[in-house]
Amino acid sequence: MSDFRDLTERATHRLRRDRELRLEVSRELESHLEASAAEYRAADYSEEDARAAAVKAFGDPDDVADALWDANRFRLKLRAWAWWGARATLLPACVAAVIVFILSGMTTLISVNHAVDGYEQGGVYNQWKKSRLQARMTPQQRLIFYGDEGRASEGRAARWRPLRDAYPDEPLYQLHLIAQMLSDLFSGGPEVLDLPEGLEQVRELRAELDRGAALDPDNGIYALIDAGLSAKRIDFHPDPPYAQQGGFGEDYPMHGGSGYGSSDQWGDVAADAEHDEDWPVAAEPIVVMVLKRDGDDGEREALEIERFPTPVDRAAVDAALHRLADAADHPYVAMHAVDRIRHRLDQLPPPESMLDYMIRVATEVGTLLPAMASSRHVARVACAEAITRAEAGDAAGALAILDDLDSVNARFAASSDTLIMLLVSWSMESLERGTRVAVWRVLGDEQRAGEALAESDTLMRFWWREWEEPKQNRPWDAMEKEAGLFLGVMMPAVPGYAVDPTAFRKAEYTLIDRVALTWGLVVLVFISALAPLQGVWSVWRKRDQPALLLWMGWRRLAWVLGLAVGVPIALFMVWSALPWSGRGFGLNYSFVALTAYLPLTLGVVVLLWVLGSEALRQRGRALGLAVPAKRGLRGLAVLGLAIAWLSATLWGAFWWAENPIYVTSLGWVIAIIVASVGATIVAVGWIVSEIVWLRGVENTRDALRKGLLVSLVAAFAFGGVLPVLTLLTVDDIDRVPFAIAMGGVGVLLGVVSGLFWVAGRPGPTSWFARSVVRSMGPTLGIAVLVLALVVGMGLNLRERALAQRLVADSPTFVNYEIERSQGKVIRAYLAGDAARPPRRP
Amino acid sequence: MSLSKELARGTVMPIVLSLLAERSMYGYEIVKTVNQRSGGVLDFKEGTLYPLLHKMQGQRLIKAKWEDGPTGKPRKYYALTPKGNRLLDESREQWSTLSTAVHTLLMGA
Repeated sequence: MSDFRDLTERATHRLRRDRELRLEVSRELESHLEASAAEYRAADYSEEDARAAAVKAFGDPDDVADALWDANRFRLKLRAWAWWGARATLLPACVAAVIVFILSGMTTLISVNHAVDGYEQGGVYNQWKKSRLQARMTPQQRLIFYGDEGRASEGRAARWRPLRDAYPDEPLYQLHLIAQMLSDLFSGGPEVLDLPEGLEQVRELRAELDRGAALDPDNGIYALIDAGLSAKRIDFHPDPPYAQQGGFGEDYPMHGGSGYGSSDQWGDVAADAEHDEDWPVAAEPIVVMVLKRDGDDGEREALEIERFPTPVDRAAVDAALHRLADAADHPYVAMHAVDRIRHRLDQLPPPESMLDYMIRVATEVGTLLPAMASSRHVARVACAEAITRAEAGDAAGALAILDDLDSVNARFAASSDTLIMLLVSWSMESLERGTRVAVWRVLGDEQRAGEALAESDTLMRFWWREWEEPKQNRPWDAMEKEAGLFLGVMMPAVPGYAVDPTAFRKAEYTLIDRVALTWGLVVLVFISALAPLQGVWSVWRKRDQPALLLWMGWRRLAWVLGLAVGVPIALFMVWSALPWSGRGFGLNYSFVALTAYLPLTLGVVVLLWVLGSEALRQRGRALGLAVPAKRGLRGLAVLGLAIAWLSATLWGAFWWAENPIYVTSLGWVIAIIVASVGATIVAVGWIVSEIVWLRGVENTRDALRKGLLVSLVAAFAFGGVLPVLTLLTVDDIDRVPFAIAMGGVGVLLGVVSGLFWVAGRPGPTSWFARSVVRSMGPTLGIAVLVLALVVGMGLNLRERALAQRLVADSPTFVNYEIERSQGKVIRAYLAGDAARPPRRP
Repeated sequence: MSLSKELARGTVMPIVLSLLAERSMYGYEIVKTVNQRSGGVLDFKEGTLYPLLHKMQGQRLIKAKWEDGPTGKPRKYYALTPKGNRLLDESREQWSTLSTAVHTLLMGA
């Protein structure tokens, strides 16, 4: 203790409210008195006389105390307000920032996962986003986009009828209402057609169809839908096996159609129909023919025609065929699905986030699905009836039906804007051509049957050449990897799909960056909340020198934040641009990319601690605290190597787990073990270097004995519990990287907890150590706010720009499917001379 | 001879500014330099310097920084800010005017 402590205590006692300021002033006065006494000693004063002379020259300490208080009065108030303000706002602000990030980052991710459900999923935050979106729209725009939401519980038709009523002369809204009525009608299955309420709905629907036909007289879709209502009543099965196949497997696409499949499969259908005595309607399923194909080249193996007993409702068949012929008399047959989608999406303001973009995708899907009508039922009934008429010797009648179907199908194909509509059209066309073979055979004209078969084979070969082969020859793996989550399921499956997935992929990473930022902020807030507890602990344990709240100064703080936050993030951005980062692939394939977040977070936390504590060490030294020596380069090098090793092992483990021929759970287990070992090395390297530094070199053994054990126990406790909790709460394979990540977080939290505990132990530098821990709280808090404001806002802006770029690139997502793929060629072939319908509105 | 307190009080701040315009100094160094250069005429109680320095720091006339001294111990060094520099220029001009006027009046030149 200084010889002048009593004097300086008196001179500064009026500054006692601010312990750090008082310590600084005391230190300055002591420095003065020591220098003064030293000069007197140099002038041959005795030690005692030198001290007395220095004290005398200094003046009356009580006068100095008054003058110091007066000089520092404003500063004292300012600092007091600043500290109380920081205490009251910093931690709540950090917690609020984290909550906002959790809500925005996580719910966006969840919403993207449930894209079809859009805003309806994701809870309060999504609802808030929805209300914000609606606030930017006029009542008219809201009605066009959302319909009457207040009536949504009454069904789709009730929701959308107000829009039609508001604009009764607009065919697009009439068609939209009809599509929603169809969706309502069949939401409970086709059995509804035999129930009284179903028949009532059909009556209402037919009235709307008549109304639509009057509004839009060139469009045959109303007649086709009407034909479908009759056909669907004839042609359905409660559980058709082909529905499970879906038409995209080994066989030719069927889309629920009965044109091409395996004979075994259709035998099952027939058997089901024959044995189901409780068949709810008068008619039974009709299967006309089966084409077996031979293996891999698309060539026909055999054509087998089968005919199942079908006691058909004649009136329904006649009605369906009448309306089919009616549809064939119209210039076009269009559901205007994409026009309706585009028109609705035009009502939305520019997207602010990927969630806004995903709501567009959800809208497209929601508009698209009810648009399928019942075209394929019409085709099946028509083909069955054509064979029936051929069996009755009515060749002209049979061929007229097929001609009508061909004509309607060409118009339907010409109006197809989406892949699924085009495939329905393809299914109908293949069924019609195959049936034509069957009709000629039944009529006994083998030459015409042969010609029809050749045409059918031509269609098959065309399909094979233009769709199947290009699809099979595509580099699936590379495309799926590059396409990412959004397009990965689509691009390889659609031949010729020419979409640059870069913006989609970047959007994915922006979302995951936000999640990672949230994760990092949670860690920092947790640690910054732990830090003040050290002060409470000091007071509770009645330490002589309770932990000080040291202020490193704005300049040092800027340096610490710049180096500890700015540099790792800059390095991360550079790493992200390199090919080894894995960011050239989408998240669906590149877990490697996720591993970079752990060293990034570790790097930020470690650097904040190392640089922050060094800045505080300098401050503590200035204030006369007993501080440890400056860190040696060796300790920092060990720490850097440990982090580098962890990064390399994690990256290697993930790479190994992704790239072997057989990706098994064993790979993940090994990845976890290797990563855990890496994390352990980091933990031990960190603990040893920091404990030795904090406790002073002379106490290495003591510090290690007391500190290492508790730190390691805490590290492994957190590092063990969090992955287990993660494994228990997260589904799917995603839980493995999550578990690894949480293990890393756990180790980090454990290490920090251990460090904080060690800092509280008595020792030569313990006052400084306790003060460092306590003072790290505000530093980390400010780091959280800087990260949230700068990086968070940056990511938000980036996400917004990407969402707007995606919207600008194509007004609708489904537009990609045909316009930018081999679908164009298929559509042109199927449409033949049929004209494309005019765009609406 | 020592100056009256009233006379000295108004001169201390410009003197400190003047010294710090030369180079950064710590408190004791300022006291010693003043005493040395004034030949003991401006011999004020050393403890009173620090409230003045803190006040000037609060007025942004000077700034402080802890640095290691020659003995390795940290010392608080004070340096002039641009605002302090401007005030020094003004003080010099005022003092020149005042001293000329006072000299004329008192000495009858």
